[in-house]
Amino acid sequence: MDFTASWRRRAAAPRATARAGIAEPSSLPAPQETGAPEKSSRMPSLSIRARLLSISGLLLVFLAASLALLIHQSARDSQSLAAEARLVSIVRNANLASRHFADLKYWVTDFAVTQLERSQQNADAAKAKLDADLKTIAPLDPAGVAAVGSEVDALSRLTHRAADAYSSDDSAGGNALMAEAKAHVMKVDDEINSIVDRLEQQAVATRDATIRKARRTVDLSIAGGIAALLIALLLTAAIVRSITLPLRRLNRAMAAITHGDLAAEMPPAAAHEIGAMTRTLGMLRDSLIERDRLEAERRRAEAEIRAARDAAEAALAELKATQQQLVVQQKMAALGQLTAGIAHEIKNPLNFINNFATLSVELLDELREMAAAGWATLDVDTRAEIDETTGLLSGNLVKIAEHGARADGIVKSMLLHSRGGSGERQSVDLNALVEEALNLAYHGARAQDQNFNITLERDLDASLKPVELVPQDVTRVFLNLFGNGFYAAYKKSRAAANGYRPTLRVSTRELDDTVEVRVRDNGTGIPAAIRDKLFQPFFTTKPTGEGTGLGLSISYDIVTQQHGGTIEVASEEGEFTEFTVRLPRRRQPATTGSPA
Amino acid sequence: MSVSILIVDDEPDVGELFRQRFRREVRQSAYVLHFAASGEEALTKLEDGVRPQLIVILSDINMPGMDGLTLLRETKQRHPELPVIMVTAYGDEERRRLAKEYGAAEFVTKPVDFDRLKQQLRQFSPSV
Repeated sequence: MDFTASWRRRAAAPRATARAGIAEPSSLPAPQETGAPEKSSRMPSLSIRARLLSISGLLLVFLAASLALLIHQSARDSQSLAAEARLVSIVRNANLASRHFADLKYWVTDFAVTQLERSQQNADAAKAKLDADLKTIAPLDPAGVAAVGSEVDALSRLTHRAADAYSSDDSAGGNALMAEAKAHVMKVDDEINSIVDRLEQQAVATRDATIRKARRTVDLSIAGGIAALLIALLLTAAIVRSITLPLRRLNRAMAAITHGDLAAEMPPAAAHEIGAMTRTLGMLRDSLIERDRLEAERRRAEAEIRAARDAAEAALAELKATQQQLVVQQKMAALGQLTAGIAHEIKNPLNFINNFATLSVELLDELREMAAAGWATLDVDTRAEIDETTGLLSGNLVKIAEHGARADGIVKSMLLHSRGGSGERQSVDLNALVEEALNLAYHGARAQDQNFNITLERDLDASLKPVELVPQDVTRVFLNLFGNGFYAAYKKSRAAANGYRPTLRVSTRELDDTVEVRVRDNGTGIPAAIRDKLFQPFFTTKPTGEGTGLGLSISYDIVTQQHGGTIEVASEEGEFTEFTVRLPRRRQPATTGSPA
Repeated sequence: MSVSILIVDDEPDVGELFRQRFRREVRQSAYVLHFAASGEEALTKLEDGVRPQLIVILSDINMPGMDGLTLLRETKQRHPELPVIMVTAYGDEERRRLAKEYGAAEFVTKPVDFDRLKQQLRQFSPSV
């Protein structure tokens, strides 16, 4: 049992020690295993073979001890049996003595009466037999035997004297002696009987003792057997347990590792055979952990490379986009400047044209007034001819003034390109500005065409904070976008079936440092082919005279150049067009802007 | 009693335009129009003296040689009381600001609204 206890103590050894013991063979650092590795020699562990040998040895020792005990007991019992047998034979001798005494008694009495030689001889023979019997009894009952001997001697003497008396015809004397002898006979009988009784009692006592001893031996043997069996069972159980328990733990650990659970608890690595298996398993686990670590490292490295590549690609894409935006911006800016420059150059001669046309109309009127005096002197045909010519002339002048005014309008629009930075930036409620522009655009469109109508949807973010912008210019942008939306929706409504309901939706939204305005119409849409020309000056899809092609171009300049925002367009032909304007809350350098 | 107006512009047709626009006033001898094609010429005319009395100079800004703003400054140095009206096709803030700073009486953008101009001129010669 001491062995089991010591084994249990080992089983309860600190885990860290056992883990360190496992990790020892591997060169890997095991961060979770703290504490200096302890040699298993500090906790001596018996090998399984030693355990089995020790239990067999112990059982053999038990067996030998119980055998020796049994042999010893048997020897003692056999001695008791021999003593008992001897007693029994002595008791028989005593009984024989009683019979031989009866013979003796008969023959001495006979001899006393008959004085025959033969009787004397028989009496002597009986006495010899009696003496032999008594001799065997003597060691056990010397006092009794001595008493019997003296009584027998007394009897012999009396019978010899009686014989002498009878032979001398002293029958009275003979009878008296015989009567005396009879008393001795009775004493001898009593004595022999008491001897037999005593011997029988002694034999019974001896037998009882022997039986008791034998019974005790049996009891002892049974108790010893049971004890040995129990001890053997306990020892076997302990040893089996001491083997199966670590085996089971090892088995669990192996199953866990097989299923990929590398963090599974490892049994303590003792010095015995299972400990060796445990250490091997530990090494396997360590190598699996190392493999997993390397795999994870490889994956991480791959992920890093992938992330770096993605970042580089994203940066490149962004760079390309920015470059393209810059190119577009430059192009737009150059076009804007060119437009403004052309406008300036045209403006002066156009002024002269308009001025002189107006003057010429006046001069023509003056000419008519001046010629009124001499008018009557002319004949009818001449007057008619002059009337016709002056009529044509004034008509031409009106046309010149008309087209001059039209050209002037175009030039004014063109000049807006060079107006950048002229307006004052103010902190403005963008929702109110959008609302105002929407009303203006709507009533403007109604004024131009009585039949025009459209559903207006507003989704204005109430949480919109004030934005710094040039209100007139941003209003111009929205007027342009709303006007275009109205135009596209109205154009579709004239061509579409009755179910169509022209709609323009305006929404504002608060972003981080930006506000967003979306203007969406469900009109004709913009063909993909011309989407990238939308913001170019003079690009228009409207019939001649209806649009200058400068609205979106100027809007683009205002949003991107002047306000540093972006303007984008999304459209599906025949379905919708949506412009998205994003304005930074505060002025920042114009770097972005992407016409779609 | 007539008064003089000096018009400075490098465009030759500007003179013709003003003559025609002001033909009635000239016919009625309300104004005498003088023309100069450059700032230098205008200054020379000022030095030589303009008859009858010069009440206002109308000057273009963009001109080869001395431009309108320089002429404005020169004129204001010599004749601080003489009103100068700047007439230009470029109505931008910067020029407007400079003109005001140098002491221009008015800033008129082309195309010129002659009816309005005539009203503005009346304040310099109420007799007309």
